[in-house]
Amino acid sequence: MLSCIVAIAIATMVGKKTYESHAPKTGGLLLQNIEALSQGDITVVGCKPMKNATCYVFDGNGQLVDRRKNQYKGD
Amino acid sequence: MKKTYLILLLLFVSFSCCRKRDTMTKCDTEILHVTGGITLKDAHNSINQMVSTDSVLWIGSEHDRKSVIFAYSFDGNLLASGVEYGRGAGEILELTSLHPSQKGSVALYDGRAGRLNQLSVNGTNIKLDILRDSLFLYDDAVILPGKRIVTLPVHSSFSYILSDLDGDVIANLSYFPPKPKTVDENTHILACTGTLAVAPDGKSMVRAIAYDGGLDFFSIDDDRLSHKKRYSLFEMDYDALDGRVKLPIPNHNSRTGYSSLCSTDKYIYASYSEAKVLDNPDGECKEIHVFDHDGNPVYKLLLDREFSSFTVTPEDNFLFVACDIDGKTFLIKYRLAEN
Repeated sequence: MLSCIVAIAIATMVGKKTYESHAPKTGGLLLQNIEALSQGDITVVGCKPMKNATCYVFDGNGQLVDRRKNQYKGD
Repeated sequence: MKKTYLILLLLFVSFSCCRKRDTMTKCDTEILHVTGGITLKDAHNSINQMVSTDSVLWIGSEHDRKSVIFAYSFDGNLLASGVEYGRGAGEILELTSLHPSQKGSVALYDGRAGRLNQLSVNGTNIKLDILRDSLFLYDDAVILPGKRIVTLPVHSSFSYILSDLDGDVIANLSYFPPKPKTVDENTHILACTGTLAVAPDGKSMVRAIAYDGGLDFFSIDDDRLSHKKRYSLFEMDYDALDGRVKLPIPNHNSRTGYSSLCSTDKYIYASYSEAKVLDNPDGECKEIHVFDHDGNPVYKLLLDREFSSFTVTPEDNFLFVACDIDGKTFLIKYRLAEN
């Protein structure tokens, strides 16, 4: 019985971690990044022009914090 | 008997040639010549968005100008201008897209501020009002008739979402064109960004994405989004940058493909180039391929010059393209023949 409960708990945690939301998460870190973005505090560097491509900025936790349209990540 | 076979063969061949237009190469080509132009008041530094409504040409320009949005009449008179970059009310952080909205109006999506806005003209000023917020960093967001919104997430397993104005999801769709064999799924999701055009009746849409020589056609029903057809001249080709997140980047084989889109009641217009992306980063084209709303190629337009942005008037009678001539930006006007 105990092993079943543990298995269900682990499965729930794994499922929660792998679920991808289609909308920006409202967890603390990403919300802070969105606020920084709306205040113009994030500066994107290292992007080159390319029509229809996107240059992405991810933070150290792999969260998307900004993007530039019509550019790609290049030095 | 021989005569019967010959007649049947002739009928079959003529039917095939006239009606089977499964590729643009089999379609009629119209070579366009300039019929007029508009010299834009104040040199615009790269026009990246153009939309035409019933009698107005809407232009979105790069951000080193005070005003970002300009409205011209079809014969070249500046009617209004406005909308500035900034963090204040009525200002934008990014001109992500312009799309026709309700009859005669235009909606502006600002992905970095997370807002879908309605543009309106008040005298000679253009102002914007928020339709919906909290739409951060989508590839695009478009308002449909009936106050529904299509949003295009990035970094998500869903590529298209249909919702109402309150944000309640009605339907979603996970569709991505075929990926290069050497690229993983996450990188491919990040690569699939581009441009969207929605039919004026809001019942279909078409997407062109980076690195891709294809167009994808979708149906928009009351409660469903579905992919109905892919038309492709070449498949996506790009590389992935090494790193924690493998970002998509062009390689020496990556080509421009379909670059900009415009939808009228009758047709979908898509600019096209075979040029390598690294030689043509602005996506300039000299061809426009014309499709019906089921994704069937109809005919091809060849222009006498390269352009990066274009729009077609709602009655399919004029094409406007933005061109740089000796450092000044002009809108070149072409009359389209009836098809």
